[in-house]
Amino acid sequence: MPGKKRIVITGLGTINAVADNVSDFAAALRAGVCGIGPLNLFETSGFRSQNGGQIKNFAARNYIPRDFSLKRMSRADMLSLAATLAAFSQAGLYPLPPQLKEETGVSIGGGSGGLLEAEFFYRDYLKKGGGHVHFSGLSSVYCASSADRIASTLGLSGPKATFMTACSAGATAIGYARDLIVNGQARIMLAGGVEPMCRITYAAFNALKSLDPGVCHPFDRDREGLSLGEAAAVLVLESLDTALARGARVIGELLGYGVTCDSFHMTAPDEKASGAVRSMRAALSDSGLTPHDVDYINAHGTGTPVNDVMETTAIKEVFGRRAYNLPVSSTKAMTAHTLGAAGALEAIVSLLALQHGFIPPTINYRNPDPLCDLDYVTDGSRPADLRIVLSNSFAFGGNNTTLILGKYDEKGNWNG
Amino acid sequence: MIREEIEKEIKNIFRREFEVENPGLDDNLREAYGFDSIDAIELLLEIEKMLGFELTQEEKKQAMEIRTINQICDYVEKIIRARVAAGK
Repeated sequence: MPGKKRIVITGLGTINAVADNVSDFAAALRAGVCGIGPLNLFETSGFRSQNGGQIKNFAARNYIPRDFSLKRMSRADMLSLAATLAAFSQAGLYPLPPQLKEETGVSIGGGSGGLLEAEFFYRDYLKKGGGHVHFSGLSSVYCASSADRIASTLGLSGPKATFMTACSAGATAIGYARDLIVNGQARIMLAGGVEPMCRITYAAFNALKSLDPGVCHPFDRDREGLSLGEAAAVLVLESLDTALARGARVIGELLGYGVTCDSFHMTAPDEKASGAVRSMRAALSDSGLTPHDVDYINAHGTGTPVNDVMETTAIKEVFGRRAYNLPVSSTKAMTAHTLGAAGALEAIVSLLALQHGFIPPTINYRNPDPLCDLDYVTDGSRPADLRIVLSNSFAFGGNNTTLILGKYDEKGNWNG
Repeated sequence: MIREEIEKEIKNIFRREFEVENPGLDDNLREAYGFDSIDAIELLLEIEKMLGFELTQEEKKQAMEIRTINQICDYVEKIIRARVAAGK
């Protein structure tokens, strides 16, 4: 990409249903570990499903030192701060040198924000009346709270933004962070997503009949829906020049991204898949790549009947005959669908696949669907020397984002 | 409630609600622990629970100038004395 500032990733941090650190996450992805099981964060009787990808026994103080106050933080705030500290540590930026604070920003995708805490507030309100309830439980209800708390806790005063484009939010937050660095508005960006589980979100997907009653099985003939999950996933982005100048270890490169919308339906994707097709093409164009260059697709692959057919159709449209020889997998059968965090979590999956040389499998797959006839990597993870990975996030509201990530190549000869 | 009991309970509230362990009795709570106006409102709610009755608006106003644990204890003692004197 001559003339374009190269953007690299130098730190990763995640807590999700499968693992609470990046190294264990890589091992779990390779082994095909399923993090979906019975929930105990709230009562699920009466719902279509009782399962989800819950982070069990999360204790914030195991990840966040006592130097930082957790006062009035929501589960989402604490998860995202924990992932941030891990990412910063890996990037060699913790503690952050004071001279970098004004040049470091935060871009986070989210969905449910502090709704879990708001539910506790409302329960107490109904039981005790308004005058006897800790209203501070509502102080982190807004979705932007996590980015606010990350910035204020670490004293960051560069750009700050929160994206709420449903399941594409985490990916869009990463793309936006890239733009801020390219445009010279930030030197270092923390970019990612966070999604806590809560009753309201769970009930909404239940009402839509989008939840698989058991455990989701994307691309399978008998798939019945998605499994909801929770996660925080944060990446440290900076220009290659900045990373090299400070002696940072480069994990991978963000080659480009594309964002489109369907303008079609509130929840259903456009059957013709035009939004998804244009999202992938925009990302390829932004990266200066052709479909031929892509080695693996980390699919949105929710496991809902409509998404998986639409995404398959879109991949065929973009990749032509090559689609049949291109590995495509959904890691949501392991992590569950983490909504606002999913795009960032799957960016981490893609980078780990590039870094460690394997394609994570689509687990829980049983029967082929004639309408989903690509190579979904259903027989366990596969060793592969990957150079370029495309990661899709296709959200409710027709919000589509595609990221393209590359193995770090000193010369940057991506299509040669 | 005697002074020692009040002090012990206030310290419990600080540990439980504000993650502040063994605060100095004369520490400026804002400067030492980042205790802010939302915390102050939450503290009054906890004091109401401790006392078993609701504070009046006038009593809440009297808490505006509080800066230390000792001042909180003085405040609680004063409230209790006033209520006893009023025969409530």
